[in-house]
Amino acid sequence: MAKNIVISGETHTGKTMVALALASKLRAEGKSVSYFKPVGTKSFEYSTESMDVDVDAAIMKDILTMKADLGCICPIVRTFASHDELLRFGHDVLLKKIKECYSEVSEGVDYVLIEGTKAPWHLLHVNLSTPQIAKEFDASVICLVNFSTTAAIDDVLLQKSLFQQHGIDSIGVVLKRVPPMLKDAIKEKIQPFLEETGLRFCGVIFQDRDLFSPNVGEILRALDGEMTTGDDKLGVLVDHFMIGSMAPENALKWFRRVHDKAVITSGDRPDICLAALETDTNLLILTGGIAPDIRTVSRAKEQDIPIMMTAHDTYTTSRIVDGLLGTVTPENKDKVPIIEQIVGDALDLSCLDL
Amino acid sequence: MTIDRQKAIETLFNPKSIAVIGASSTKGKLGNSVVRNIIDSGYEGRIFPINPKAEEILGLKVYRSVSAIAGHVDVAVIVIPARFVLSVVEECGKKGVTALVIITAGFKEIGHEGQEAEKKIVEVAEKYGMIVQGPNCLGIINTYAPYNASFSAGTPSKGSIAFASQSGALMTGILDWSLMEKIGFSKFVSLGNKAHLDEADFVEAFGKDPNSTFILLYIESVVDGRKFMKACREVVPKKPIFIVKSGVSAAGARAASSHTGSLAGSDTAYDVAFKQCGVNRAENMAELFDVASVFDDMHLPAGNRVAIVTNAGGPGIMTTDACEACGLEIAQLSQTTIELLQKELPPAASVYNPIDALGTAQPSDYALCIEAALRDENVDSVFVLVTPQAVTKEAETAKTLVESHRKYPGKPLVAVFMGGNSMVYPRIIMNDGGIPVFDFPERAVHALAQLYKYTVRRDNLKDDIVPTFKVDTKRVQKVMDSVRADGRSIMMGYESHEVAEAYGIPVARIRCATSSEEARQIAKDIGFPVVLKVASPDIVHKSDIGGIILGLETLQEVEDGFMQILANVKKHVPKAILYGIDVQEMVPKGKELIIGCSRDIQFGPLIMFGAGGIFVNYLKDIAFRLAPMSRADAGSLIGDTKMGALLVGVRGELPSDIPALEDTILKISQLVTDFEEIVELDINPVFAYEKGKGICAVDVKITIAGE
Repeated sequence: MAKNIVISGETHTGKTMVALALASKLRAEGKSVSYFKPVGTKSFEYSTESMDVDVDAAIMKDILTMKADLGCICPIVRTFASHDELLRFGHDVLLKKIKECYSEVSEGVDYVLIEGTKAPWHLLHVNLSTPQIAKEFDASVICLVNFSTTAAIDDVLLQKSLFQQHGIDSIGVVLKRVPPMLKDAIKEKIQPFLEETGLRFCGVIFQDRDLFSPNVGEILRALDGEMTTGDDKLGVLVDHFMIGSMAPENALKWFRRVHDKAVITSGDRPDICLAALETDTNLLILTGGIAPDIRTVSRAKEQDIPIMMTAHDTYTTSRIVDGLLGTVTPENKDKVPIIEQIVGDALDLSCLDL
Repeated sequence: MTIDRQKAIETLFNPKSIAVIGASSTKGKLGNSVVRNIIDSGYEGRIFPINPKAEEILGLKVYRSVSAIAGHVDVAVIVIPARFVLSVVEECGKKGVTALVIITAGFKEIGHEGQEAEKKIVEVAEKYGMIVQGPNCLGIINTYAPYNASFSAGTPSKGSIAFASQSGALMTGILDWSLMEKIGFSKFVSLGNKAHLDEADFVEAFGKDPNSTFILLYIESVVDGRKFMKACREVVPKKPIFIVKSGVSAAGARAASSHTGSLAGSDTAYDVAFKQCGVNRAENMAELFDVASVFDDMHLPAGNRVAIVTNAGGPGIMTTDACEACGLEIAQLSQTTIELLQKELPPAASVYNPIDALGTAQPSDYALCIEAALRDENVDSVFVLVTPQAVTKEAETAKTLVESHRKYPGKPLVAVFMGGNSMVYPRIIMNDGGIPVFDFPERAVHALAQLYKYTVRRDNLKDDIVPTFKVDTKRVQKVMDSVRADGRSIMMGYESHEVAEAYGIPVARIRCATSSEEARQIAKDIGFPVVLKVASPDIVHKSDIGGIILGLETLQEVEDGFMQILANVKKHVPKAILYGIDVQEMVPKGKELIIGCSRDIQFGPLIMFGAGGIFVNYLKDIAFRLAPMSRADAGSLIGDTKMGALLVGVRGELPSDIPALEDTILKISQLVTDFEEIVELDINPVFAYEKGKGICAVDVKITIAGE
């Protein structure tokens, strides 16, 4: 019989990232893993006319190459189409469906990673909140808590108390989005305190740009651009965007301050382009549809830095790419290895009774 | 294979045999022009035209390939389509050719493929130990060999100027012009794409060449700044180097980037590099050749004192103004000279400098004045102004000048013959007689002044010792490693201050607090008042978002300040990654200075010094030097700014601690030389205190490059 791990937390993307990292770690130990999300939310991008699809389920099915039906990996997809969409079925019907699907998803694997609802208390109204699901499936629990200030310590305890109320005592905790300034405080004060309260400490994920950076391919799609050179670099991550419109003598100074960046400028500024190529740049975005100078292309090829052209002007381009930063989901498959690495390194599996 | 480039260039200058690969019998083709020029220049060595299809070109036997030549080939000139060049280079290598002149275009300048092809050519050439001039060049001329292996229209006359140019087209223009102006050249080198031999190699070679006494360069960029400076420093004590470096303006730099495909280093760096290696920078080509025309005919001036001989008052005054503006001094004539002139000239004449021999001045009057001035020990150079007045005998006067110079060849004599038609023949007389002649005084004065400046720079060029301070490089390395491990380029305040401390630079003490309690403790330790500054790599302009609070006097203020900054950051830059808040000692105010460093692409660390504070960008009272620096460099760097004068103490103020400031500049020079990863460094402000009380670096910013 498969062992179940419930991943809980009030986060946007954190749970799926942790699921990815856990799956990767377990698989590295030779275990087979599948993914289950009892209740999800309808993605308009992924859903078809005949089936409502949860985006995380779709991604995990793909990454874990699961055979199970997508409609079973996430059996209940909330659409918010009516005010009583779940109440009209009631707990029993929903649970039955969940259990049926679970048995399909869990068949023949060592571990099932069960992703909780958006927040752990969601679906209490049909008694299917994350703690209730965990109890139902006798799962180990990992709670993720955003820990941007030490005040979040109560958020941790709130989750703990919620799970305890539903009869779950063994709870692992992962603190995420932690600013580096709290590094010492967590190690010296917070972790010992939490452990004293009976929580198991599973790790800290510090604020990390890489987790939230778009890659060249995403930028290409967002800008409706065209690669001039570096078609093979679509997976390269971009951490920052800089506009190159300064006087050339100042360009180097600014470009040097930031690495893994994309520089947005116009094709008729070879000085800016060359300055950008001289520094740690991951992408050159040329706006206004002006093609680069032949020597800029030549230098870019030499430095192995991709160049993208877009018809948007510089201002529009910067607005579009700004929206890409910090909102990226694991949807982007090129990022999976980075997620597995960063999140995986932060997690200590021994905190779970596996 | 290691190549003795200089030995090979010697062969390139004086080949015993030349193969022209791509020689053509069709007039108008480059391959024909090159062969024709070699023959016409009077070359006495063996010429091997190579063309697989022809039998005879311009009366010479044609070979099918280089390998078909029986004897040794010193130089191979390549004028064939780009796609065939690589195989020919390989063949030349096997044949044992010493030097290649690749005239063929279609390499780096046409893009990536061309660049790759160019790289391969250099690889093959190096494998066989050959040197390569070009590609994409005009060729080479040595008027002493003599030989002209270029497709220029004509051969320059023999002279003492060695000229290398990055622009081939410019060379053809200058060559044509020089024939008219009777300016002679020793060497004429077109640098082309500089794939292998670059300007530094030729500067070194010109330095060794006994027939070249004056070096002129036109460049758009240098390939290797350090190598170039080293070559120049060695040559300048022996002969002057004058350079025109284009791409001064922002638009010019952009054009140069576009033209050469390389990022132009900042023009400031070029300026400083030239200064530090004694090279004179000419503003434009006209100036370059004005200077050349004076130097070609005259000795260098021994000093800056000039005498002016004129037949009109106005031009005399203009020349005087120009001299003052260019740093030349109007000589005070000796008593002997004055007495002689008083005796011989009409009473209305002015016998003091400028010597005005009046509009009636005859050639004999000119001879008298010029020779008196040339004899005068208070005079280093003489300007002669002639305006065409009713009784002026222009041609006769010109002959007088030639004669006077022949009698007293030791001092520079520069003629300014103002006028049009009446001056054409006199100018020819002077050109033939080796007297530099100009239309208007300003250019003449400027040219002579440049030569004087050369002598000053040459004499200032000393091999100063670069001091080495005892420093803790390990500590710096540790900070650097941790910054890198954290994936950052910008150091936090506490990190950069630690780097400065490790190099013995007095800094305001700083520590990073992650809680207000910790901040209070730090403030207590370092003493009040303190400054709080947000520590985040994402926040560049800290004060703009309320990330800095100054002058905190009590523990309560520190606590409030800490919370206030956190709140400001949360409000204005919520995405910023926060490392904590720096608590810094608030040091007493001194003279606000800035010391900075930016790593130039071509020349390396460019150190800046000047008036600091928040008005740096507006005052622009800054000067630059390239590291590593000697103590003399540091002193002159400070002296180049207006702030330098203030530091000495003005209006009753005590002088500042200049030695401590020099030490700090030198330590920074050492730091950025030791750690090439430091690409930008800014200390603003640095407070300078009274003599003996030292200095203090208040805010240090360091950016490091990725691995």
